[in-house]
Amino acid sequence: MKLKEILEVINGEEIYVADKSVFDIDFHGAFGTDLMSDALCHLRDSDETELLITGLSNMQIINTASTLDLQVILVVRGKPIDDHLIEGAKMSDISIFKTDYTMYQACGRLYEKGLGK
Amino acid sequence: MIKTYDVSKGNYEDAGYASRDIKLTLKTFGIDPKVLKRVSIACYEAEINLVIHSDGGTITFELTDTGVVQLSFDDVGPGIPNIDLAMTPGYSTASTKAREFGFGAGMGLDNMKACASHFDIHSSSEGTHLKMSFQ
Repeated sequence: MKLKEILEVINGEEIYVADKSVFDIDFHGAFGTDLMSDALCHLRDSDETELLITGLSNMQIINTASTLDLQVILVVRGKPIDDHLIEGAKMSDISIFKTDYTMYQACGRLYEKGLGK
Repeated sequence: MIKTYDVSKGNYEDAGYASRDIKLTLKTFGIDPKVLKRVSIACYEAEINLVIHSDGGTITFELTDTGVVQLSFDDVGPGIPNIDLAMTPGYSTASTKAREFGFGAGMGLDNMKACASHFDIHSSSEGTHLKMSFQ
């Protein structure tokens, strides 16, 4: 599912876009977690394009995405995202979007529409 | 090439700096992306462990002439009482603060071992010494 479709499904808000081409990235699946160590373990062997969905909004989500070569992070529950985090995203070329939906709602909507099925 | 980094106890804000720098350095050497990903994951997990669990320590990174990546993590304590237990997936002694930053799932050491070509860990009350290599 392309990022632009994902954003429509979860009413995504743009926080920082590293490159306009991200909207056309075709995501194979997603991993939702507030534990970055779970993401580091689960996505370790993935060669597919994955979306990181999280309720965290600190620098460790940028570090985790960068470590896993992920290009896009979706922050759920409408968490506020400060300038420090946006600066980190810029330095790492990682795009950030957010939604007011909870993790459960966001994942449910995206899965229902076919992401990761 | 050899680089060293100091890591402070409880410095969650800067946690990940060394791993990021090592990844950027290796990228300039054109290392295989799959190897680079394994190095990055293991290095980041180990760096986070130093911040969460140790009283402070150092990371030493070396890229040998034969293209082998070697990472050493040496801290000054307090040590891991039972390494076998610490290696068990899901076992964690991480604090609430560590979990607030997204860590403490109890997968770190096991994940590092899965990423590395060679993994060696020793620990006493005077410190923990972890060595990993990747090729």
